[in-house]
Amino acid sequence: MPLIELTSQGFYCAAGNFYIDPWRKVDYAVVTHAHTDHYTANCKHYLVSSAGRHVFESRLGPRADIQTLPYGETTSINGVKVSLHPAGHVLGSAQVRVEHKGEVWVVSGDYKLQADNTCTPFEPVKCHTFITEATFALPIYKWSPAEEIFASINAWWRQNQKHGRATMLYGYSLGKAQRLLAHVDSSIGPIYVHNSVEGMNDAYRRSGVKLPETKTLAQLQRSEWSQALIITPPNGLTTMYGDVSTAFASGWMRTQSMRRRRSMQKGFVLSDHADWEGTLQAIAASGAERIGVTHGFIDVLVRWLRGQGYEATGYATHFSAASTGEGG
Amino acid sequence: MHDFSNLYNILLEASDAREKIDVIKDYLSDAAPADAAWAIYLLSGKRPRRVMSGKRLASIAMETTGTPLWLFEECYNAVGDMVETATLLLPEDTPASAVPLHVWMEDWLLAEMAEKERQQSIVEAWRELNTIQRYIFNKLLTGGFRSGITKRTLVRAIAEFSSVDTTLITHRLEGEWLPTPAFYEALIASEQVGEDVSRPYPFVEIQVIETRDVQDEFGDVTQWQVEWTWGGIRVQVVKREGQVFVWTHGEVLVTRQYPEILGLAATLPDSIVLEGDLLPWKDGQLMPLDNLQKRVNRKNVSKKLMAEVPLVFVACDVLEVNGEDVRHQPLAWRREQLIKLVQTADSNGFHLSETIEISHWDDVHAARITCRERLAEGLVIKHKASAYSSDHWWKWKAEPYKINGVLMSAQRGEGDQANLYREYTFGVWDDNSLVPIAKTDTGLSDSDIREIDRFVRQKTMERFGPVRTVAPALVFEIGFDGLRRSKRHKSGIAVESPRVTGWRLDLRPADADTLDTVRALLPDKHNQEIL
Ligand SMILES: [Zn+2]
Repeated sequence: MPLIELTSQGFYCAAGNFYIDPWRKVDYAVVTHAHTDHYTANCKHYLVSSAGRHVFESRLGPRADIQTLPYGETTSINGVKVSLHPAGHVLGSAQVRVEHKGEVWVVSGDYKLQADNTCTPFEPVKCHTFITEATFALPIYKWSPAEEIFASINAWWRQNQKHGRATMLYGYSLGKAQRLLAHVDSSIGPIYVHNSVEGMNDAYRRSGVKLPETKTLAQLQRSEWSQALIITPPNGLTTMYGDVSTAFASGWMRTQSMRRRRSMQKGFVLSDHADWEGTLQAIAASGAERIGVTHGFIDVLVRWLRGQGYEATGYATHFSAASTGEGG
Repeated sequence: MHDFSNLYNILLEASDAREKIDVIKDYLSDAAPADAAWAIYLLSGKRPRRVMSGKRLASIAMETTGTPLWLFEECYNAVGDMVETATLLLPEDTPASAVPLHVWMEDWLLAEMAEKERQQSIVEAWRELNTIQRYIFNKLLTGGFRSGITKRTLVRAIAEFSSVDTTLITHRLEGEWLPTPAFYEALIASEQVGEDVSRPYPFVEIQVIETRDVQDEFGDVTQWQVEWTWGGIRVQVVKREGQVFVWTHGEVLVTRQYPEILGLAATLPDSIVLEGDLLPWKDGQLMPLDNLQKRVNRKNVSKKLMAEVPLVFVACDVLEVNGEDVRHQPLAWRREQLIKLVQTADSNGFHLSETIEISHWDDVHAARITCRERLAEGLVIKHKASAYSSDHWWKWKAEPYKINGVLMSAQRGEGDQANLYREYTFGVWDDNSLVPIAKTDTGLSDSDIREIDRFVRQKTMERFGPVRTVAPALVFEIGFDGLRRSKRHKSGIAVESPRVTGWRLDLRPADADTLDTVRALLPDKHNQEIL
């Protein structure tokens, strides 16, 4: 019997009797990060990274039983050794390392290799079996250096100010929004955020992440409209005081068809997931010979890895069947 | 070239025409004539010959990057465009190339090469270019380049940049030309002697009357000329030095699309500019206006089509007589000149716009009521003493058609409206089921929209992407300005400019109109049966 298998509740470790990123409520859930496609509410116990404590508390509410574990420290669950390692995806995101009778598995959760000041950088973890995500596992997905993207966001903001337009940037409330905040040049003008973003900002600030000053949209003054950068999730509602230029910051913006589907004027290719090369690099760095693939272009990555001599298996999770809720 | 790819990128993302015009002007102010000529050539929608198929390009990309076919196909499924897929597969990290556009076009793209040499030159070009440049280059190679801007925007940008009149720029861009520096210099050069032969006058805007109290607004009725308007194609016919030019309101030269106008202009004196409408006219009467669609934007007009939908020119004003600009003359004077011209012209296709005898505003109201049966779009009202100027032309549209329809489905708005279901499809009864008759997002107040949004969410029957269908419960009055038969619509009828004119809380769904009632409104009633 494999150390970790996919059940109708999620990834399950029978030896330790715990789940990793379950989508139904279970007794014991080890959760990689607080995006809605990786956790579910109402589990009896949660184990998450210490770095993610405030983020999880804000998502799960004060009554949830949340235990935390610092990156790199090992705990034992029913005799199975479990440790968490930085995944570089969002604040507190972790790869879960599971060791039992000398066999080591790592479940990556979502991860990226690009630099990001708002979370601890990805660390490769040696293992026998590596379960990787495949959100952008196609060779057309290649990320430009993040500094270049932020430089063009800054330039766009300045340009909009010159033309008397507000600058509205769509990004998910947890992770993408804070990454944008931490890397844009906040000296350009005032920054306003949607309430859901501000909630996460609080959690980040309490965790010691430095973010520039933000105000919520309710405080948005008409006089500041044309100077402002507004960061809001794609479904956020905003009062309009004048002309606005909108853009979406997401890995999906890499293709014209996606840009058209979002009917955005502009797109910035900025992702919190690994691109194709990044995914292959992480797989190689794990040293694993058996690779599990989940979330995204599963079949493609499995076929590619088999062609490269890996023993690869696809895991069609409940979440990957649904459309991508968060991340990008 | 760096600049052209930059220009293309900004044009893709620009939100309004003003922004597009500004970036084109910026580009032209920096570009060398050889590059500017190519840029205008490409932006005007002209396409250089296709060098290779998208498939061939894709196979070169696969070979260069070592991508197996199955993986390429997976990528293609995600992208939906062969050339874009090939482009995105190429390695990154190339800074933008500064090789000028004319070198691309003349040395890389259009130079004759053997197959092997061609492939090598493409791979070398890819090494030189960054992603957006490769995308443009590959689209050009495979004949799929689209500039995404209208001719009108391009013309306005060149006109503003060069301070040359838009009509002259339009004229200079007509027909065949080669993108050479000499062409570009001539394009932006100030006007040459004799070059204004084709030039129309700027069209006056017609303002729409929103009120019913015309009497209060317009005063003494005898000071006004009232004529029918039929909603045809508004044009100016220019005849100078024996040549005829037909310009549309959008300053597009359409002479070749309407050969019958050339014929009738032959009977006119020279040095003359007339304004009026092109209308479909057969057997001594106006045809339903949707026939006009068959004649619009045709490059080649067949004899058969001309016989099927013949056009006439209904003149309503004269702007130049004997080479003299007469726009400052009072309308009554211009009308007299026009009547003389029509009387002396020897052509069946040349009509005078029909004015209405009036002695009281009641006569105008009475005429307006008959618009529908006459197939008229409405009335145009002009002050008799007025010069040719936007301040004095008014359109009073016919009363909209009104029907009662049942809300069938609603769609999420776009952009910042995406959280509300605010684009509605209304249906009318056909036997015992509803068929969609109008789709609109206009006419309702914000509070109504929010209330309907709540209703839609509660009463959803099915969801298809952004659309939810609902149980028939709410009835609305829908107004629209016209209707025509349409095979593309399930109801067989397309309505023009539909909007909600009222929420009929007093009506039950069963009280809404039927498809037969709507059919009875069709202008060509004798055709109803075959629907
Ligand atoms: Zn995630």
